[in-house]
Amino acid sequence: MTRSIDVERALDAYLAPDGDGVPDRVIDGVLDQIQNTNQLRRGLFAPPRFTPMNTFARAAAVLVIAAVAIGALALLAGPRDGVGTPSASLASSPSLVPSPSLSSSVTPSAPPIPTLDATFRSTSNGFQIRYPSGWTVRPGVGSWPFGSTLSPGHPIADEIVTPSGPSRMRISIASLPLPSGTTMEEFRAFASPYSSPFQPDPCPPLAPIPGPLTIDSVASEGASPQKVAAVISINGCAALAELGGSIYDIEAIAGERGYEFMLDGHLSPADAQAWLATIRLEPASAPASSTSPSPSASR
Amino acid sequence: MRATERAERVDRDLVEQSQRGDREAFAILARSRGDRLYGVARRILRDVDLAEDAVQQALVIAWRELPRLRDPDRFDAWLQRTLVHACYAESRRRRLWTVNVRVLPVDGPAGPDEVGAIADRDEIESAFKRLPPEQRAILVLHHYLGLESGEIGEVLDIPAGTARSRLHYAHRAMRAILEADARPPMAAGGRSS
Repeated sequence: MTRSIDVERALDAYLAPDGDGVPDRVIDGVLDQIQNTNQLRRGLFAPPRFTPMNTFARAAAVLVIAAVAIGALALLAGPRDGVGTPSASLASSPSLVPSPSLSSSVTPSAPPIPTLDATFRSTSNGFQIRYPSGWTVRPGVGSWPFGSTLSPGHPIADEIVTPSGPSRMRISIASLPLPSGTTMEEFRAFASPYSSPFQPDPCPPLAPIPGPLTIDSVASEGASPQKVAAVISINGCAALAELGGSIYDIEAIAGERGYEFMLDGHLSPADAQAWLATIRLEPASAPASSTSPSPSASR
Repeated sequence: MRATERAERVDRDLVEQSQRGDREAFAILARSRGDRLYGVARRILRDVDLAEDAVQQALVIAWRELPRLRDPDRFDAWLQRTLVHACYAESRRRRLWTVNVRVLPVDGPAGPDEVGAIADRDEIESAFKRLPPEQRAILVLHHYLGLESGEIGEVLDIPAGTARSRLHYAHRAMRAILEADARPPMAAGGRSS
């Protein structure tokens, strides 16, 4: 008998049906709620018709779609500001997922982030970041097990947080070596399981980062051998944790290392962007396997 | 027409009526699926109150978004997916899983077959609750609903290979926790979050 079979048998028994039914009040509550809940209209990509289009209508639709596509291509290919200079953002990365809502709403109580006049360098997680001197820095302890999910303030993550006050903000950063060929989707599946590929956003964002997002501007300019892919998984959800405010969850992959940046607390999308832009990814400096951290902080 | 075909036809009719705004039809669907949904939610969340909230949330969302379901025959997989998302939301909201502060090796060294000796439901309960919700969900879909990788992929809207991989990692994580719990206590490096 192998361990695998034992675990599966244990789970079979533990999760077996036990005949319990849903309380009537649950379904009754649903039926009460839907009395006052309107249904959404059929989605853009759902088939609104059940009768076939005639040839003329189909041809007209093809022409319209082609015209729109050509127009979009012309816009993309046309002259823009900054042509000829390298982009300082990752906006052109196919892996970058901008916010589904580009609302410019800002957390009302978010004070501006102080001057980022100190540097924290984490050799255990392979990055460095600027932060306001005087803030509390807590290096992470231990290594991030592949397949597990962290949360803001998790002890494995390096943490930089406002030391006190009513409107605190925090960044928690962890990384781990990824098996060669790990895709962003596979990484996100455990790093940020509440978002894609399970769902586009787990909540209505209050203050989403509008993009473009810059992480490690050196890499984005192509001056580094690192190739950075980054996504915003959770983009401005209400943070119900200890700090309140909003929460942002960003994953990046560089040098076969997966990074997770968790911002939470009272900070505006603009400050979140600015803070993330100070990050330099140094995957080569991080251990390939777990070792004790050796962070350093400097002014 | 066989009984199962008739039942499927009735279900399809109910889904289509619900899509057109028929609340009575949706009530029949909700009552017929309620126990199963509740069973899944209770196992993922390990909390009766949270499970009730998740089921309510899922059904209300399902009612609201039902017109966007393209294929009525996929109603059950779609509804399960909606429920799993609701469980994620409940779990995240209550942050039940963040209490795990111990560093647990996923690939422990080969040793005695500790797991084989485990018969204590409390140990399994304790280990299962420390898994992140997406791993709990995939284990529930497999061990409670009896879904295989392809069906899990359909529910979670992911490729079957990805579902198989996640199921493998979930089993591995569960095993790692059980093995770690079976070992003598080590110095824990961490703090509560």
